[in-house]
Amino acid sequence: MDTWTIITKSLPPMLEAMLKYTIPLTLISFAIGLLIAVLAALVRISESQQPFMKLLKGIVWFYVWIFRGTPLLVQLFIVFFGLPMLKVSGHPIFELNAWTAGIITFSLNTGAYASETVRGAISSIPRPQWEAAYALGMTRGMVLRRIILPQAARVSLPPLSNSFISLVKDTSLASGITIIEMFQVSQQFAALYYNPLLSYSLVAFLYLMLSSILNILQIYLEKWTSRYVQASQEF
Amino acid sequence: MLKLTQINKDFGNGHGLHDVSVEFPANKTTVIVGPSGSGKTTLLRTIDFLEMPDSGQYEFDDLHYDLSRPLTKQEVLAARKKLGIVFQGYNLFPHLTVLANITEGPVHVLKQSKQDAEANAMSLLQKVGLADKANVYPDQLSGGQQQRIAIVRMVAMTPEYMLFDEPTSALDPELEVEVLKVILELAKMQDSIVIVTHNMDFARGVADKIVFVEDGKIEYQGDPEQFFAQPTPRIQAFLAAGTFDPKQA
Repeated sequence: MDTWTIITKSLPPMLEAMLKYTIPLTLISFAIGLLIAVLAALVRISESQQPFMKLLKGIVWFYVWIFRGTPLLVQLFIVFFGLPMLKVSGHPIFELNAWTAGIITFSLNTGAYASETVRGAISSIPRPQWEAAYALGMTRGMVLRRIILPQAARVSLPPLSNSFISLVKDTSLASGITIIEMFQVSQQFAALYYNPLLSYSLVAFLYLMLSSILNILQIYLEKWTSRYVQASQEF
Repeated sequence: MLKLTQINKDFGNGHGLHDVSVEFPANKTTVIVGPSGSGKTTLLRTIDFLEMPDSGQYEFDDLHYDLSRPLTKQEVLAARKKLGIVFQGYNLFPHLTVLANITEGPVHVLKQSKQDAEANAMSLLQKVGLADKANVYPDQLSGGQQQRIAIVRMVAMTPEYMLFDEPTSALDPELEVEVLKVILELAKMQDSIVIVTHNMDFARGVADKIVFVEDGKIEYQGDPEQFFAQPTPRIQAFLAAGTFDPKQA
């Protein structure tokens, strides 16, 4: 079969897999991951001396340690293949379909990395910004929400974009837990047409397109979030 | 009336406050002076609880706090509600426009309507000659302009006491003057003001009361006339050190 026929035959199913799995998996996992990241960062910067908060800090530290310290593929395998082994009186506690297992793992993994990004961004906002806000009579929650986090968002945008782009590509690992996402489909066509170079190059090109769109998005977002910074200070 | 009694604060490096007792009379301007590192700024920040003393008594109208125990959030907020502060480094919120900087507190802390807060902010901006800057970001303004806006941001909260922490130390002389004029206006309106400054001419011109701090202790508090006209040898040395005489250099 000639190259062009292979492309026209395999491209539509790959695009379909991208729209049905790769993109939703990325968007949902990133949204949840970001939420986890902000919450985890807030726990880690908390100055509270309450035992409950100290315990929470310990848990968050442990979570970040585990998810940053082990391979994503191994995490996917543990959640999807491993957790159903845990049984209480013969019934599995976790019975997750591949989709749920994927979302959970990607969210937690992204959240662990992004929590460090967000924490760093929050601590990069100068102390006097806190003081000026406190002096207006704001509570700690208000200061964070209205003064610190909006500024931290700008600082964390480039590293968060990195995480986002990594996540798009990392969803290819979901093929390992039976999710029929874009890379899985390309593997099927590689086997079908005996042309792995073409099939895998094609899927690589599609990932590149996705990342490029995110790159452009990042540029616009950075411009928008930096609107209050003098042009001369952007560099 | 605002009164601190026997305030102690140990930073563990020799600096701090030692048994400081001082009164800041209402409707008067109190100027805190002293050499660098003497504890002037610490004293001022203690009033607003941006610095927490180790011990002492805090009396502010109906608020009476024993500072040797930790204050609750409500106690701190109750005091801050009646206080405003202007910092040496302006500390405007860079992500908000000038107008939003000024209305942030009135709208979100005092729960004023956005309309009222903006109208009030515009009239205050008018007074300091910056009404045309309402919609720009702080980063686009000079230091003197930023500091005048920081003053407006404080005034918009209608605090009982206005605190100034070396408000012109980061400014060039000509920018300093435009900020000092604004503070002088406030002082003339019989507001209750506490200023930390290095500018002795300004201190002399604006003070109803002088507080001289050295090594974390109050060395003088009272009448400015006497402070400048009949200084003790130590005050004389401090005042002389602040004047540059090329013949003696």
